[in-house]
Amino acid sequence: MNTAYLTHLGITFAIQLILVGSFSFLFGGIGIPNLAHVSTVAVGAYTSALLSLHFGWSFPVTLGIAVVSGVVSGLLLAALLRRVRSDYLAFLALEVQFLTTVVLLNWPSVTRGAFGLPGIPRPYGFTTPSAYLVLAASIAIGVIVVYAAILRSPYGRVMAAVRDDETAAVSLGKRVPSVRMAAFLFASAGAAVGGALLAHYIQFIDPLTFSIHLLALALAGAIVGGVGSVPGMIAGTAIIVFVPELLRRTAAGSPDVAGALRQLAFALLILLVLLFRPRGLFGRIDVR
Amino acid sequence: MLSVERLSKSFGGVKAVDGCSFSVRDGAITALIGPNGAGKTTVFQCVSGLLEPDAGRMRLGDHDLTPLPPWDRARLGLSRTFQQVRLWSYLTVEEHLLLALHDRDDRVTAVLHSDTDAQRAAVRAALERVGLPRDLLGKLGSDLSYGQSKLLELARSLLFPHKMLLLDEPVAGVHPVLREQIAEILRGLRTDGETILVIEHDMDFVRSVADHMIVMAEGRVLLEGTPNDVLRHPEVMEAYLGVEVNS
Repeated sequence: MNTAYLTHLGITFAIQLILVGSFSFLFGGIGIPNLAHVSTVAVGAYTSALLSLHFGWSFPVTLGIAVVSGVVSGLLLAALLRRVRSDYLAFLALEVQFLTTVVLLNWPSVTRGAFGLPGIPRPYGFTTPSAYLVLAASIAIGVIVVYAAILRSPYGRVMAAVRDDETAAVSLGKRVPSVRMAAFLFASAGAAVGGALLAHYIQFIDPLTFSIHLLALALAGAIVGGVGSVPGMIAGTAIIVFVPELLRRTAAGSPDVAGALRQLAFALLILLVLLFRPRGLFGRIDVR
Repeated sequence: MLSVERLSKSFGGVKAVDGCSFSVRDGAITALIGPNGAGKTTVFQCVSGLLEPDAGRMRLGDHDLTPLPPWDRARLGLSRTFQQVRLWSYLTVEEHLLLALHDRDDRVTAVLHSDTDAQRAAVRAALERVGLPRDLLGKLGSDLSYGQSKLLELARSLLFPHKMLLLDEPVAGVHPVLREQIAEILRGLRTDGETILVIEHDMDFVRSVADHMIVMAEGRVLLEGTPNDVLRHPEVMEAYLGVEVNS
């Protein structure tokens, strides 16, 4: 294995850790499997990419604005989902996800539609893959440390109470709607950061970059690792990043076989976890 | 302490509570009794804000509860237990009680807080008060027996800063020994000056703890009085047994 390949794996791991972590934080922390998660990732990615392409603003600025736009989109989603019964929540979130793809495809004056945004610059001082690895890893560690601190704090305990039984939480004076909104805020911020990092790494994004496949990866990583658990976020991300690489090696160089094997492997993995270990590898709560 | 004025609540065409009015005295245990479907739990749900009534007002001391969301009513001093025990499956016994103690842990700044030794000591004292052993502290809510769950929910409601307790069937389905234990706890609370409104079907239990009784039937208050007066009243017997009783 050469250094460039390992560096690429490392960057992919860091970015996916943020995407899995932000999804797992909301699912495990407050009990909401946000199937519109990737729409927030897309908002972060497109915001940062467009600002750097059109205005030449530096990465810290575009990242900050991407986070704000991601948080706004996340809070709008939270407000929308509040009005829906829990069994319809997943459907509505998925519809928002599809709607986001439709908007990205059909707003060419801003997003260039299916042509996508090429030439997204790497951040100044982090243009080489090894430097970008340092950047992505640092940001990923920062995001996960923040999530860990929240989940272990008294505030994280209130989130868990809202997750397990919000009526009992309300009876102790906990302001459930604001706790839920804040959880969306934290998760959306992370998703937007992941989106921006992804965009500036691959340097080309189009609507299909933020497809159901990216959501499936986050979902698989969160469930297999164990939702709401930081070791679970790390373990789950390792599985979704490194297992495909192992499968690629066993597919005797055939991309079609490798792709099919990967999808089969993920589907089987989620099924096995749900059947035999519904808390995942390191999770505390049962996702069934 | 608590006053309920002309409270009404319907579900579809069914009037669960129909112009119900009563007051709960300070420093006493008041039992709210009545046959199934009388509207007792619906009254509790309306008072605690989990159901919005169709009409009527509710006051806790000087505060009008009616326009307030349920969390604000709790913060004004209403602490309650539930007809079906409501514990958090994936939180430990200790975490259940710490949640009752922390005042501002639903604000984002609570991310920077931590539990103090004094709070942990208060948690242990709360367990002792209801007769639960300390070795349960690390157990998850979902791993407790029914009796332990009842006691934990009671301990949680006692630990939460309150002016009044609403206890919904605290001894439903429990062993007679535990029933007497809970009765003893309530009598102790009354000695401490607590104000309690309790729903119960167990008349022996009610007789042993209540200072005052309110009887509901068909969504309305039928009558009020001391346990001795109420439980022998022909209208109460008719409401429970469904037969006319010649006095």
